[in-house]
Amino acid sequence: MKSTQHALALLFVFLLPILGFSQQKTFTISGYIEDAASGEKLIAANVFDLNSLEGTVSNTYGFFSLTLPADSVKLAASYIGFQTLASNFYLQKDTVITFKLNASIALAEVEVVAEKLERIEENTQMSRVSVPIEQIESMPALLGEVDVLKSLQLLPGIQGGGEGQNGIYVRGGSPDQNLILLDGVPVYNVSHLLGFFSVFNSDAIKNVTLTKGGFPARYGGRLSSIIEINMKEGNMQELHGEGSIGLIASRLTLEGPIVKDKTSFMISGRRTYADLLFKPVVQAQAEPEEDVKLRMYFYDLNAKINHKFNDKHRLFLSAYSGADVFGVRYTDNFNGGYYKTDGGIDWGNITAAARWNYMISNKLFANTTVTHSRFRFDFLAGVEEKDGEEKDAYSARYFSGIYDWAAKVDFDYIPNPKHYIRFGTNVTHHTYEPGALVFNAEFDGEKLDTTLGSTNTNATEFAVYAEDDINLGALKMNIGVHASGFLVDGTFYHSVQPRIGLRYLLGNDWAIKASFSTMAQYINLLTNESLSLPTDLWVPSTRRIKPQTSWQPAIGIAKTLWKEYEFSLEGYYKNMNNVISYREGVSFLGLENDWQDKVTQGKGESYGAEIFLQKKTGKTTGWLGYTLSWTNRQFDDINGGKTYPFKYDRRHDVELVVSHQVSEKIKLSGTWVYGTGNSITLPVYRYDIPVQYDGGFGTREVESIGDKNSFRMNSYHRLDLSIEFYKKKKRFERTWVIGAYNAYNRPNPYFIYDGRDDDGNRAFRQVSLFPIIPSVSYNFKF
Amino acid sequence: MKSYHFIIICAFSFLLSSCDEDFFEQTVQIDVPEHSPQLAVTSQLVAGDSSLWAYVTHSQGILENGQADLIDNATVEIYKDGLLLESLSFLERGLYLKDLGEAFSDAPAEYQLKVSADGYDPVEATQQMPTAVPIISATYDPEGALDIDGERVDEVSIEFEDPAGEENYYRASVFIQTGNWSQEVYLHQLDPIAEQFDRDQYLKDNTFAGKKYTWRVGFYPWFLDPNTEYKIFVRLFAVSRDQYFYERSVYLAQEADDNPFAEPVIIYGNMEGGQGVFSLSVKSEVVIEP
Repeated sequence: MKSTQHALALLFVFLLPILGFSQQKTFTISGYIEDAASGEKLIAANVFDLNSLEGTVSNTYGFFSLTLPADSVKLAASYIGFQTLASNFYLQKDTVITFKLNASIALAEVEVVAEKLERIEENTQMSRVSVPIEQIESMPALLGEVDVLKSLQLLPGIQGGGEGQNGIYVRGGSPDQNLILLDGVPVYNVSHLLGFFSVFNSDAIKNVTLTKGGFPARYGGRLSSIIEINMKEGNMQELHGEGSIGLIASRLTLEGPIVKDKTSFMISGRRTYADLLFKPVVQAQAEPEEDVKLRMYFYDLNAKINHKFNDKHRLFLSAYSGADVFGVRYTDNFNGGYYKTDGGIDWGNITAAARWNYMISNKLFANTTVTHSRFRFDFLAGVEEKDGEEKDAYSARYFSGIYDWAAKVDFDYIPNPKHYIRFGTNVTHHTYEPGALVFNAEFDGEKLDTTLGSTNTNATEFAVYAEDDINLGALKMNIGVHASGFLVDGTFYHSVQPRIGLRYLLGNDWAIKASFSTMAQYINLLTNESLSLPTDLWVPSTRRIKPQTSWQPAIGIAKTLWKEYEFSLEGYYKNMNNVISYREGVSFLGLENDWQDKVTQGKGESYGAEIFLQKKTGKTTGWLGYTLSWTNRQFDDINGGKTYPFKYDRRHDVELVVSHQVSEKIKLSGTWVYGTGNSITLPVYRYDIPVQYDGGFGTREVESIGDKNSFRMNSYHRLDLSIEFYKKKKRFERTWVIGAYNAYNRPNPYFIYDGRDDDGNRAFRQVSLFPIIPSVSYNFKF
Repeated sequence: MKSYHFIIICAFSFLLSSCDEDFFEQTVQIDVPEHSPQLAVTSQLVAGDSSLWAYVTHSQGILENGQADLIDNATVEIYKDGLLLESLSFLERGLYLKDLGEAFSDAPAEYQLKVSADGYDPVEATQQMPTAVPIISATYDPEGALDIDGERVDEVSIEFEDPAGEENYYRASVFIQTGNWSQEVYLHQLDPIAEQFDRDQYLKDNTFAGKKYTWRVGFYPWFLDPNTEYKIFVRLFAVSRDQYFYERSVYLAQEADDNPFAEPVIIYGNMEGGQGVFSLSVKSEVVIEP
């Protein structure tokens, strides 16, 4: 009994500061921080009382809450690229304020305040980077197509896949270990055109944040990173538009109020037009009796409606649809019949989200979300022939996909400046369609209908979490726990994942940060390591295939240098279990086996150090990143069980990103990347084997490979440049962007094979993909 | 402003001029460890055949030019349950042969292949004779099925009973004799659990272990003349595990040839001290005269 009393007393003492029971009367200032011109909510904006030096940041929906003692306050709200807004008043009651910040005309004006309020050493969170969308849009891009994911590849600890690919490999993880969320909805296939372009249209995007370690408890479901991409909410004040005409695609975005200050919309589209250009050419080549219909494009469509019921309730409806469509339909009409072929591949995503923000009190904020995500790949090949009364038809169709329905509720509770508590829960129902082949045939009235391949699998995933940002002055910490479960085919997996992040302020404004996080993942992507193919399959953990798990400690230092440079140095170690790989010799295409027979599970580890120096304000912005890392894999039945380097094990990785505003009308941008060559497997010797032919035997040469990934390609380096010419016209603003990808024409290795040199001698040959590629695009805004 | 345009045009002209035709493919230097040549031996013996054979060659470093030298002085010996059964003699082009004059026995036994040659480390491999699996019945149905491509094919069904309590692997073969000539036909897959390795089909017993099974295979009858009598030799081989994995790896390596995105394929082998494979199979045959 006494022990119970002691425990209750201890609990009361612990809860006292959280619940805000103190002798001095306190009041709460809450509200939103938004862009004055558009009404867009500003995420992670700072609110700071310059008198008490207490502060907080706005959440994903621009909401903030700051509880202070009754006293005079000098409250300042600031955000990069916006003028700081300050308000002086005597706090004597709970107060609701909406800060409407104006964009900075001259960024230097806000630097003094920003330097005080937004220093990297203040944040507990480490291993997290936000890249302003304006910075992404000003970076040089392949064929002028701005690409969000390729911009993230320019951050330390993150690598792309092959040349020009938008794959994301974070701290030695695989692409399936990244949870990519568009307005909170997972997007399963983020690639267009075999991974050369991503599905995210930058015009529709408000901000991008990547977390690669030190995961707070609210995140879960993947081992390596969480990439949050939020769409614009739509201008609440007036109609605006922007667009672009490029070599590959054109884009158009419109946003504006439906009811001013109440309801806004945003709609954005992008489409390629190679098919429209080729169509007349193809048709001109055809004979009069022939009809050729070409389908060859990809598109993205983003839409969002944002309705503000009142200060407490707000509703967001957002949707995305995008697809790649490639195919040809050919018809040859002849006297008394026709011959028709129809073939093609289509793949694409649909996502939808409904989000309801509810400010329950000035200290408690809730967000409830219902989402749907669908990815589907479809391949069709068919032939139909009719001659008089006779008709033969044959078609084969392969399809695969994944469908999710999910619901989640998240709470932000800010009892006082010492605590920021988040808790919530979510549940997702997955339907996996892991590849099926359907044959239909009709010959002389006889019909055949056969289906081959795996059957659908249903699974339910759920999670609960709670975390608290605790501010103890020099020491700040984020402590939390994430618990998840996965139910598939009668098998139940569960995991409890503790998370902790610490920051301690040293002298001279240096901060030391440390974190430890454990993660679990119940979903796997069967993919080739070199290309992002639409045939890549998302498959669940099963009775045979165990969930992937990881643990990752990290330690680092951070400091703001020379007032406007953020510097961080981090070291990390990531240990991964049950990572998945194709077995040796398995073809990643084909249906002949259950997918579970094709894969094996093993271990992975990655460790290294990352340096990041970033400048966010001023005429010259950008960053310098350097990563030193080692990444290995070990599977009992690959490489004889020996540990081997991961394909994207990269010892040195350097990224330099610079944008310079030469004048009001001209902006120069450049990126330079350097990376140690990828590890590869090559044959080391060869011999002949006998092959039996009709009536005799011959021989065939086979090659024997060395240890897996025991060779290195040449190092990779590339310079991209662009220049922007801006002009304000009477009714709109226009910008010409001229760029060059691989400006000094470096033949970077794409793959290496053993072949013959120009003299006919055996030699290793390197194939490169992209020489210098110039681009031009015309952007407009009104 | 005009000067900026001029600079840009000059810069692009310079950059574009740096493109050359060798950009997309070029020879690169990669240090490959020196390779000591090893004996590479292939011997796939069939119980029921009247000869024993082995193909003997040696391995070469991947960047060495030229063909491997012929090895015509190797000692090639086959042991049965530890006793020397036969020595094979050099015939031609690396092929060593022994004509038994009778069918190679399918009785359960352990066989060992030992090969040695001057200048190379000796190699050896051991195999257990697979359990014989007789064909219970075989039927032939002209144009009886549609293959995986939707084409009409002749169907052959092979019924057999899989031995219980062991892991078994099978290969099917159809041999046609008509007029003055005969040939083994290219089989087309009808059975979804079978595996097609080039022109051969293989089957694992994991879905019908210890039970009767009917294996359907197809072939195009384009060479058959309806006016000429012909015989169909339906053959079922119970093959050793090593033969299955070897044939599978050779097929996958062939498929992966020139495909830079294929997973690396290690050629399966069981030859200790060198390269290659020694495997055994037992043949069962039924003749159909339509």
